[in-house]
Amino acid sequence: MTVLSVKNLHFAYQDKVVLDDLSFSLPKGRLIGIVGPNGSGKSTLLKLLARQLPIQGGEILVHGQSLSHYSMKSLARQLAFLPQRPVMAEGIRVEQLVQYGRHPHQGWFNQWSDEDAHQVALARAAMQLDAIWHRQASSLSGGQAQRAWLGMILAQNTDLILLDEPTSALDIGHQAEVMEAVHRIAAEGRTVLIVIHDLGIAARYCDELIALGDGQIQAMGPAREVMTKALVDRLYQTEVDILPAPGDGAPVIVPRRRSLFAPLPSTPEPSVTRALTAHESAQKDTTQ
Amino acid sequence: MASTTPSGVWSLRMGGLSLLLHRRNWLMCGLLTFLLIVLATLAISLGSGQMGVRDVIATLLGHGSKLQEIMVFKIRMPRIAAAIVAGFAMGMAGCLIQTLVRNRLATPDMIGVNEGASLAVVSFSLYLTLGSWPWWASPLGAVLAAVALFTLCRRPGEQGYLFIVIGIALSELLGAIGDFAMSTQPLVHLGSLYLWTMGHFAGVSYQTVNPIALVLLALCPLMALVNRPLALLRFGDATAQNLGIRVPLVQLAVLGLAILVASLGTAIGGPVVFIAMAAPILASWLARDNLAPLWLSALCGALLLLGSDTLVRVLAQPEEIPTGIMTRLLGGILLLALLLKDRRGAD
Amino acid sequence: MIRTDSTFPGYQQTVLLGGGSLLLGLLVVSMSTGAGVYGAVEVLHYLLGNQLAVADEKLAMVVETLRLPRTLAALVVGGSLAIAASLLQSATRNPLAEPGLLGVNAGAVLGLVIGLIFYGVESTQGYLLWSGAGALLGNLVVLGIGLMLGQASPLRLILAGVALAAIFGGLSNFMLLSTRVALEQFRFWNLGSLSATRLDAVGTVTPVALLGLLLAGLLCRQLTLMQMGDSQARALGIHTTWVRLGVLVASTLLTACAISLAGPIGFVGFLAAYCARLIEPVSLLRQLLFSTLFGMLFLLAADVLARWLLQPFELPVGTLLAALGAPALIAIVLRGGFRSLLTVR
Repeated sequence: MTVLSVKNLHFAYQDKVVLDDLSFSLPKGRLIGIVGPNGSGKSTLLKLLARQLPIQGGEILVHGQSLSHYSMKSLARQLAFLPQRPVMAEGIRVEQLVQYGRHPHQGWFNQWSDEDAHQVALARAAMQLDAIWHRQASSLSGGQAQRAWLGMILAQNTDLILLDEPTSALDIGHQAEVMEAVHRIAAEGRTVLIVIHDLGIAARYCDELIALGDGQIQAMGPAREVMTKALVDRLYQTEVDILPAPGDGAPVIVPRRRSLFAPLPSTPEPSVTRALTAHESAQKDTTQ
Repeated sequence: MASTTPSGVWSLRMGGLSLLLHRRNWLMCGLLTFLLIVLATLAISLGSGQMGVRDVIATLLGHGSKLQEIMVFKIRMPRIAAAIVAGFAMGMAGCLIQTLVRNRLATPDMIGVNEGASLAVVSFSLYLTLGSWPWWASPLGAVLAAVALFTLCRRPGEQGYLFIVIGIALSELLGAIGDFAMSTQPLVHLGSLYLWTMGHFAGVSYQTVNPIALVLLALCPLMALVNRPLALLRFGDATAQNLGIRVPLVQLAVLGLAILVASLGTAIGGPVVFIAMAAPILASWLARDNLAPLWLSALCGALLLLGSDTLVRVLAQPEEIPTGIMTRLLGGILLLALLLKDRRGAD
Repeated sequence: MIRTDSTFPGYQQTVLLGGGSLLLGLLVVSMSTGAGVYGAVEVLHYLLGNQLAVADEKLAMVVETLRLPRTLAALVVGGSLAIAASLLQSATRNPLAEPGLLGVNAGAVLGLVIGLIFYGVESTQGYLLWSGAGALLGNLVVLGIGLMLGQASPLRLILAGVALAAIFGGLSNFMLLSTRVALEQFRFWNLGSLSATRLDAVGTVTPVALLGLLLAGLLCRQLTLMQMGDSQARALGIHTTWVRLGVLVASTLLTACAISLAGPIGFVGFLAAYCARLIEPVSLLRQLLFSTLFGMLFLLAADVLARWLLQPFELPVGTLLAALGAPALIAIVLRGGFRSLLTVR
């Protein structure tokens, strides 16, 4: 069942075309990552979907209805959007932050219902916020703050969730923490569209990837199919090596180091790559 | 398992309707209302004239002598009522602006709105012979100044201090023109206008206070309506919109209300500075988790202004010193303290 | 970053020549404008000591009492405020700094008010002393706050200036209103005007201004190096505390001179220092040169305009400068955005 459907989407900032004739659709219950070089329009796409930018050309359908048909509040009940650097209000606790997520479901005279309490409790459990429930939101670490934000997003109880680079400013431990949480959310039946610039993280956690470049979708599908050396090299204008991770074999992408004076080596220098097993070296050779 | 009601909140339910009240916020409101009544009673009894607190209470309850009744109801009460109403207005306006601009150093005072209101009143008073006090010129001047400011700086929430610097320049400009206009007349001719421009409540009559109080009362439902979306603006435009707020509409409404209310407060006793800055800060400190404590700010404003007015009346006997001078002095110290406390703040 | 050659580049020479000529021209205009029917020719005769002109009492009065003092005062006040602004901008690394906007003027006024009310001060020396004391306090607080705020937020210093102006202004008003001493004159004087200047006052003040100028010039080299930051400057052997004290003294002297002669005038310092930085972004010594030139130019031009606009009435020059300077500040801040101003060297 299609939750989101994009047709011929077009967007330009002044004279520069950012998105050109984009079309894709997303089913229910998947974690889809949007990757691409800087300036490829990833954030712009997300903002258009969240109706934070006006549509210039093309169509966006949420649950079969055009985006423009929804009122502000009804749209907020269909999709949730977390911007790249969300502003945290001072003085509130995590509990209150999550409760604010219920706002689209409340009204002037309907400020708190049993359903609200239920959804907040679910969000609290899903994001494992018990330990920080009563803490001041501004005192949280990066990973904890992101989980709190995700708690608010979850409390909104939408089918579609849009996240703009939720792991950019986090260290690797917190990145894992957040991505695990995001993956859990998707596994429960929601559609999560996430902009990520770290290819390795994207490949590891996302069910599918959309690779954007030159304003168009360059590739779309499972990570293993999308992350080919040819695509990554072309998209990011550089040379990379792609290795399978131990365990699930998810692609690990490492940039290839170049020396200024020597020509491009056909095999990587021993100092860059660490202990490679014979199996992995052989595999590397076949993907070049 | 979590309880069904959020913590720190009273919930009133009736059928399908429900209302949430921040416990701490409303407890503080109750406390401050009580304090306000106490202060008002005290203020009535203070100053020249022999009336103790008991006499005041007796007179208020209808058991005072003719003389005492005149003292309380005709002389003291108007001034105190004026200070309270103006304080309410400034407190609310300050809360609206600070939440909108997401900056607690923002205040309608420093951005030229007060000077615009003052200049308008001065101009109409000096150059047009009118029967009554042109208090309506105050909102007019304030709105014009605000329009000028927002034409120059479109996105106050995102441009932070740029907005304030332009506001400061604007206030210097309008202030200089106003001062000059007044300097063309000798003090004798100016009469109470001179003191008014510094924020002065002596001699303010019910003729001025009542219409303004009524307008403010009429605006209260609008304030209540705007309170919830206002609080969510604290999370930035993107997140607020995510939660279903029509951000540009709310911003416009809040701005319009703030300027209107600030200018109404200014119309009563003249531009009284820094109450609009201090009241919301005090209110936030008292009710920490309320993101937009409108009513608490109003009460804080009334308390601060009445307190300053009473202090000035007592300290400067028998001369009449404008209350605005006291608030300017204390407010300047507060602003300085805030700037130094928050050193790590970004631009 | 520090130029070792001593020649001025072409466009700077043009500015110097052009500015200098404009200044001379304005001097002539200033001496010929104002109350009294005498034109440039008669005034020139008077100044050259022509027997006939000197004997004319009315001419003598107009020149010596009305026009000459204010023209000279415009030079001294304009130059002083400009140098003080350049110093403050350099020391606080804040492109909007000047005695007016930072509340230093208000401090000087407070000092003067205290002297006036409680000590009945009347002489120019007395004015200098009391406004100097007030300016010292103001500068002390401003420089101290500038140190405490650090580089974190230049615009916060301006807010601190607003706070200081509020505190000093509130105190001044309180004292004036509770004692009712000289309130009438103070109201007009507080707007900033050159109309009541006396020649002997100018004579008393000028040496003090020159002292401030000299001190500023001596500090130039160190201040330029301090633009890189205190720790780097100290690594180069600069005693940053002494330099800041020097700035404190120089700025106080200069502000006191300006206030004693003309009352609090804002914006002239900022505009002059800003234009000076546009012409010469690097060497502080040259900036001071241009700053002084522009300060004199702007104030003299404003004074002439103030006399001419509403003839035969006279606009206070401070009001005129606020009316012109505030929009200029807004335009500057808007066009480049604030970032463009942060090229203080």
